[in-house]
Amino acid sequence: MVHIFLKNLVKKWKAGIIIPLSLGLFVLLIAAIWPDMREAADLFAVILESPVYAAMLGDMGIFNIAVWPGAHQMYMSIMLEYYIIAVTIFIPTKIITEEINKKTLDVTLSYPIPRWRFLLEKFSVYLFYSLLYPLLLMLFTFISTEYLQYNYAHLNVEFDYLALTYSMIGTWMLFFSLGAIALFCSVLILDPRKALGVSATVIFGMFLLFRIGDMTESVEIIKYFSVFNYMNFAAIVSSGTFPVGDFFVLLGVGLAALIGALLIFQKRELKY
Amino acid sequence: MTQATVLQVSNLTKVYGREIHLGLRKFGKKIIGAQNVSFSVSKGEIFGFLGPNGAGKTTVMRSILNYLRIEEGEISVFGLDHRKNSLEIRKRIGYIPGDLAVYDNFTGEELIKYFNHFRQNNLELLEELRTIFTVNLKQKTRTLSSGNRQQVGIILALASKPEFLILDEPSSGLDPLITAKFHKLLKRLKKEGVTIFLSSHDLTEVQAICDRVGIIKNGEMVLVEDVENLRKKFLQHVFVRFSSSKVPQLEEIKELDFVLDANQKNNGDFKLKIKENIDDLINWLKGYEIERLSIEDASLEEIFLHYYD
Ligand SMILES: Nc1ncnc2c1ncn2[C@@H]1O[C@H](COP(=O)(O)OP(=O)(O)OP(=O)(O)O)[C@@H](O)[C@H]1O
Ligand SMILES: [Mg+2]
Repeated sequence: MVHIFLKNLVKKWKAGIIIPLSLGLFVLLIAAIWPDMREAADLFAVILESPVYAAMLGDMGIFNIAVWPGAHQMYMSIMLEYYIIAVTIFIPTKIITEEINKKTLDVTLSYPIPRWRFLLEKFSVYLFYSLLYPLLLMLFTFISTEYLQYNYAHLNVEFDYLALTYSMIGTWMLFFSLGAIALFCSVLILDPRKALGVSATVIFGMFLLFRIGDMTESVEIIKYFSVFNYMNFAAIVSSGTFPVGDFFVLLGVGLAALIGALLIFQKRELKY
Repeated sequence: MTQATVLQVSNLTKVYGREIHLGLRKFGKKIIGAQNVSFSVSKGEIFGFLGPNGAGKTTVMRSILNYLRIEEGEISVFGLDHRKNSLEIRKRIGYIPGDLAVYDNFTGEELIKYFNHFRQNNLELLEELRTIFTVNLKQKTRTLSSGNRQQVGIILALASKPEFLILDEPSSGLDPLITAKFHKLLKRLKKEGVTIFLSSHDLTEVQAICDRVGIIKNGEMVLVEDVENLRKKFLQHVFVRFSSSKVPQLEEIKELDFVLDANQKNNGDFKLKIKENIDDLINWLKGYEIERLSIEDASLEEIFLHYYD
């Protein structure tokens, strides 16, 4: 029985596809302007050294946009994190709060559906559409690279797809574990507005923790408490290795939050 | 013959909110949703649940469905614990929430098909429901009027022909013709052994279809009674004319403990509202000479209203 999953898969297809697609399509745009952009690489290097960008992009904000992977990495480092933050705050939280807002739980849960299962199937829809981020990004990266190699053969464009694959697995893991945390917050709070507030505070708070810890050596330790510290896109791409430890940290945190959410929702009172 | 008990509620107490005491200061507020409520509904019975707004009807119903966590008491449905066996129970019930809402970007048909996966529709009854109810099932429920949306809710709850229906103000928003057809259907389902627990503000509805009623007020069950007995037992109007030799004072009558209310008409006749004990009345009247006496049952409506305030 996967009817809840299928129903929600169909119901959410538009947002489910459009959001990752919008992130992916921009890769093509970057590829299109990159040949011109690289002319101004020296100027960019200066800009990127400014403290404002350092704060936005963290330590790894030093990109060599003279080469295509550098430009690609710059785009991904900026946009991906913001997408992850926005998506994981809003979408997993809405899994339950939307039902509460619209008062649809009373009818649905009067059918013999275990509550945990209802929640898990809906969360799986989110996980499924989250897969589109890595898949579409890889697809558009591939198309972009092919395009550049074909049209700008003299630039000797190369791309490390293995590192990209590693980092995309990391991206999906971040969607999983942050999403599970947001889900946990929402079933704990239930009240739609409060739940959104708490999810936003927790997720954005973790992001800040990571950024501050990453920039400030004296408090570096705090970044380890942030999910964003693990399987970080830029770190994987620059090292080119798969961080096994990080993977298990995210898996563990995500599973713990997810199981916690399922248990709470199974037991808790539906009072609103 | 004792019928099997389908729903048994014992000493249910539900408190919303929490009070926290810190030293002498108090934070938060407790609201009693239901207090020490006990009653049972037997198989094949239509039990009406009445009470003023905010009395606790929805609270009791949502507790039965295990949506609310009760502070005290026990609830069993089909002899199963409402919490431990919630899944098993939900296979065999149909529920219409008081504040009905269904997925609004679906049509009625789509909802019927979707929920069929979880509780199999009874095709015969579903066909009948389609003919009774006038709602357009091909329209997205978002665009339906509230009465039509209520019809969708009823169809969904009844479609699987569950053994036990928990209906929170099911006929709210229905037009009179649909309401009448719906009542007829409920009565027929009852004959087929379906048990029905419904709340309502419509006294004629209760009178027309219920076998028994429970009246809840401020979270407490103040009365559980057979509808037929109610009249006889609970409230009667007494008109009495005393012969002029000895006439009691109105104040004196009002003091009598079997008298709920009394007033005197211009012609000197008394009109008394009395409760239950007709014997007490007769004993009291023996002390007087009486010219005229008549006793009438109060209307059910009057009885209900009496319990409302
Ligand atoms: N979520 C809640 N939080 C706090 N109090 C609540 C909540 N839900 C209900 N109550 C309170 O519980 C009491 C009983 O409410 P309930 O909804 O059960 O009444 P009702 O009999 O169904 O009324 P109505 O006829 O208006 O539907 C009311 O005093 C109400 O204010
Ligand atoms: Mg109610």
